[in-house]
Amino acid sequence: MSRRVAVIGYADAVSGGSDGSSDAELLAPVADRALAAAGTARGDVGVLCTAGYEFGSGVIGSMMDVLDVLPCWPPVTHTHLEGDGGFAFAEAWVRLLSGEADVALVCAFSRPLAADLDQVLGLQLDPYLVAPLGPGARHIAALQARALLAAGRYSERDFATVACARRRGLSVEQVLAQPYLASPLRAADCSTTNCSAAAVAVLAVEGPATRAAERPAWIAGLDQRVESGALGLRDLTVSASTRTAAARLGLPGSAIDVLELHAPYSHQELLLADAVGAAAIGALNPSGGVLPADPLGVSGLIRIGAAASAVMRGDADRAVGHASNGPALQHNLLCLLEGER
Amino acid sequence: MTGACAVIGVGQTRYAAARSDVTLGGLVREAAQGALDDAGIGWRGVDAVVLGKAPDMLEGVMSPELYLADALGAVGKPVHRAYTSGSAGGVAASIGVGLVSSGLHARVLVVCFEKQSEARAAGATLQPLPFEAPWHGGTGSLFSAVCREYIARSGAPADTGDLAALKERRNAVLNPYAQIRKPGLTVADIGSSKMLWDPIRLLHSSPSSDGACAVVLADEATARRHTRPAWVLGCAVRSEPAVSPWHDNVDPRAGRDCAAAVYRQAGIADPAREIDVAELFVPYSWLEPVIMENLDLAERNAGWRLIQRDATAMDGPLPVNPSGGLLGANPIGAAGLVRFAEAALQVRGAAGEHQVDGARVALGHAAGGYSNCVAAWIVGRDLP
Repeated sequence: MSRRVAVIGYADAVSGGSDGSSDAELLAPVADRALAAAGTARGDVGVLCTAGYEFGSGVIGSMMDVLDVLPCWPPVTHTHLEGDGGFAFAEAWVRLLSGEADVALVCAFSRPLAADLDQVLGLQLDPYLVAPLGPGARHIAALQARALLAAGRYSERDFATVACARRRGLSVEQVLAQPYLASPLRAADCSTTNCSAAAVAVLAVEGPATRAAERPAWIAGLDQRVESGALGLRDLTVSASTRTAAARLGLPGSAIDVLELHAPYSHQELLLADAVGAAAIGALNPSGGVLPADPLGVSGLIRIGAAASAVMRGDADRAVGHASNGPALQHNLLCLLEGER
Repeated sequence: MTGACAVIGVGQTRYAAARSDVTLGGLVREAAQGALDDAGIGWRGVDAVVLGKAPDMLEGVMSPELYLADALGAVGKPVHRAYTSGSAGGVAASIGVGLVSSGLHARVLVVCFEKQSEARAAGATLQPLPFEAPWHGGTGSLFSAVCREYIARSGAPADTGDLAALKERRNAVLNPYAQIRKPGLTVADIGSSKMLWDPIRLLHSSPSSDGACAVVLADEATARRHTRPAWVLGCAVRSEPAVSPWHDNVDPRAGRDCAAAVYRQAGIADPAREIDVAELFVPYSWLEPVIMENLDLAERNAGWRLIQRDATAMDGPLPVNPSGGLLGANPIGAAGLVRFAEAALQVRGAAGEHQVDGARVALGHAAGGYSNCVAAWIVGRDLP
């Protein structure tokens, strides 16, 4: 790998509920802001990687609609995936490493139009044996939280402490007084998914684009791993895939300035931070994390964007962004971003 | 592309209207195991997995790489996703090529599937437009307009679709994996089959299929140890807006640019002469000359003359779809990868009864959406 790739621009927009905007209307102004932040023209983009969950918006072929507003005339290399934008970020990185182009745009978009996202996410489970039982994502996460309690790793108070740190105006006692939503998880432990959002990152290969950027956030490492689709085959008290990815990036025992975790449930923040295994973390989720706002399909890219922005602003020299997909954190991605010191 | 990449294994399932004997997991496993056996490697030898599939909503399984992680042997490994409509199979292959040529991985398993028997594709793939009465057209209605515009531009005779279909269906008889194998069909049979979307008739059309396809991609060092690698000499993906003043449904620039990119990478100056065999994504036979022109394999508005002369037959100057193409089977999300895989089989001399004699350079093509998403690769027996 002789090419180096950096994030040179990033923008996002998150709002509560839906104002009736289409995916394209959500995405277009955010893409323009990200390109402006990167000092890059639409015509420079050679690779376009998009992501979103059609199961969330209920629109089949939604990537066709967003192509109408994204820079793809003349035609560009485009990939799309049903999942989080963090994984589209990985695709763009690979495309730039393999020399397909010099500038890539990573786009994620989300609208909460489906009846119940929690139930919709249950469709990620085994379609023959598990999904027909009707569990929502929250129920699977609760199994994981329960396993952590049973193993004596954490207490409900630990979960509540995380919830308080991420949500304003709540005390630990107030959280513990909430009724269970899915025991042992309470409302404050579960992310708020009713939001619309778009996030766009601009990636560039070392060259004119990165020299023009004030402080590029260099991708020093990126690794993603998936775990078994059978819940019974996984040890839910550890995030094995995050551990593998962290080890490959050399994170265990190291010091990082910023760690942005895609943890939709409070116990998962504890689990993930443990799996990353850094000896020192300057700031954990300084962006606020996903508990207050968790736009499906965009949250992971927002975490990577927040980590990259911390580097680009000069607030961090080493920052890690995390994206996840699947029941009880089945698929995890870590990206290490570094600034020139 | 930076580092060299080659196909060292190909696996396909038997295609059928309903593979009710297997689950989705069983389906992808069948293709993947076939590709690993062909490559002579075990599951531990795979560094990363790419899963192509489109659209996810057809079978109602969200992010199917999660449920399928075990069947794909992906547990503990990176798994990448491709979803771009009909071109997904080609895009998945191109992601695999990127993972190898970037130096990130030495051996990548690319798998694509579709199980239309657990879905309803014709209605699901065309979303209703706001404020429009539902017209229940299905994808064929989209392509009938393309065919009619092509006829208007080129003056193609009315039997062009019949002749192209006859050639494809004869070839499919030679392909043991094909779903539709009807020996003894005549032009008259095809020309008198039911009219579905004028000028597209039933026997011009691809079927609904269950099936999966897999390829193992490897870096140069690994491929050199293999007896019959198919070297990836060029690989590209191009997409453009489906709705724009410049989008030409008949001759989309995405297709022209994609072809130009792979020919440039492969050092091909005269594609019609230098390419020995092409596997093209032709869901309706009428589109064969349309796509050949788009990919610069035939002169503008003259592709139908090749069909009329039977020039794309197995023993013609430019064989197209010796596998029978999509008319033999159309597992949507996998169909593009099947084209790429069949191109590889041809240059490896491993295509069996539908082998084109002496094929050394082959083109694989996939297209989707409103013909605005195109992927292609050139594979060759030799690495220059």
